[in-house]
Amino acid sequence: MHVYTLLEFVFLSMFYKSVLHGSWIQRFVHPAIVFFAVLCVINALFFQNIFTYNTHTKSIEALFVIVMGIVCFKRELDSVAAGNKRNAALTYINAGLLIYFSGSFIWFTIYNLTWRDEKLGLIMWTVHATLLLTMYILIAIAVWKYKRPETTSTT
Amino acid sequence: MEVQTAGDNLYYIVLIGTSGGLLLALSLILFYVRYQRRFIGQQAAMQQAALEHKQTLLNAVIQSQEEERLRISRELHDHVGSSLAAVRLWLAKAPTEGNTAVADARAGIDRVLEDVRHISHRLSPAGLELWGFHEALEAYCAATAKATGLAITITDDTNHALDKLSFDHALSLLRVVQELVNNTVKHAGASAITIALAQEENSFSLHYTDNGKGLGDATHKAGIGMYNIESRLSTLDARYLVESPQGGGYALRINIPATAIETT
Repeated sequence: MHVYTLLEFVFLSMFYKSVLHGSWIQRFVHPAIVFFAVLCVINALFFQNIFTYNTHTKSIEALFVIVMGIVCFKRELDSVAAGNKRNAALTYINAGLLIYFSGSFIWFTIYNLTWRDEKLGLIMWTVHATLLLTMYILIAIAVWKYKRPETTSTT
Repeated sequence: MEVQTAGDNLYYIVLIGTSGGLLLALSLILFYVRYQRRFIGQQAAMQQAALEHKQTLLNAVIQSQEEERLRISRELHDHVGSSLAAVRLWLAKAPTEGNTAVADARAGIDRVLEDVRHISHRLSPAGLELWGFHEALEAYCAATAKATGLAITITDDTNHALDKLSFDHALSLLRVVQELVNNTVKHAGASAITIALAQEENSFSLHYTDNGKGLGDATHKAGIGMYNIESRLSTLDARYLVESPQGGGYALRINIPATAIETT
């Protein structure tokens, strides 16, 4: 899970870097990846070993994605206001990521306090799975929307 | 008892935290979608306004162009034509026996008078206002066929419905046909032109074909002629499609919405 979290963070960072091209926030993506990798190693060595659910890094990752998602939405609004065409696929992907990471943030944060409670665990894993499924459905819609060819008519 | 309370609190915290996070995310997405739609709506309204403004300007240009043509046509017909006719009468009184110059001058004036009459009619089709589109089209085609030697065939399955077009719309359509015929005469090397008028479900069509060399492999370049055609057709809300008939030649299909007639 520790390695998965790091890879997920790198993948999502690169995704936001590619969609936020030209933005000031792009400059912080590479340092953020290095910082997060160091954080993952420190967390695995001193706080949550590799057999423990890495709630600390997972929460930080969720915070990072939420911030990037908000920045991405703001940038898209600015782009549409400037007269550019709206990017429907990006909207779906960003919405999916925001819904999943915002909904799961509190769960990631306090998971280690609750894992002994089986009933709560069952409820929360169900909620988590639902959010994950929602995100995947929205990403699937984004892929479908992106691949649809545009039709043009001429006078 | 204390453990139970802590458990309840935990449920409460997890529930509130998850719901809060989700609500925030959903609110953000809703806010984003709503503002995005508003921006897009505003842009669409602005584009529509710009398009309408452009159309108004275009109509004004076309109208002033037609007024100027009408003025020149009247000047040619009333002044130049009358003056030439007067000179022709003077020459008619001059003795022609043994004087070929007078005969040549008469013939020359006759040609110029004919040319002036043609130019005047081309500038402002006289029959259009009196008899409508079909008569004006037939008169124009007959004059062009006579002048160029082209065989021009007109077929009409609309029961002269296009006569109901307003003068401006009919003039626009006639100008389009004139532009197409000009192109055929200048570039196509054709010997025959067919103009077919037909009525469809909610529209009328004008199918123009010639048996010339067509567009060939050359890419369709929108020159001034095609720009004029587009401008004229836009006043009728009409659409056109350039076709490449089998066996060569050039074909253009114009679709005129029935509303162009109903709204006149």
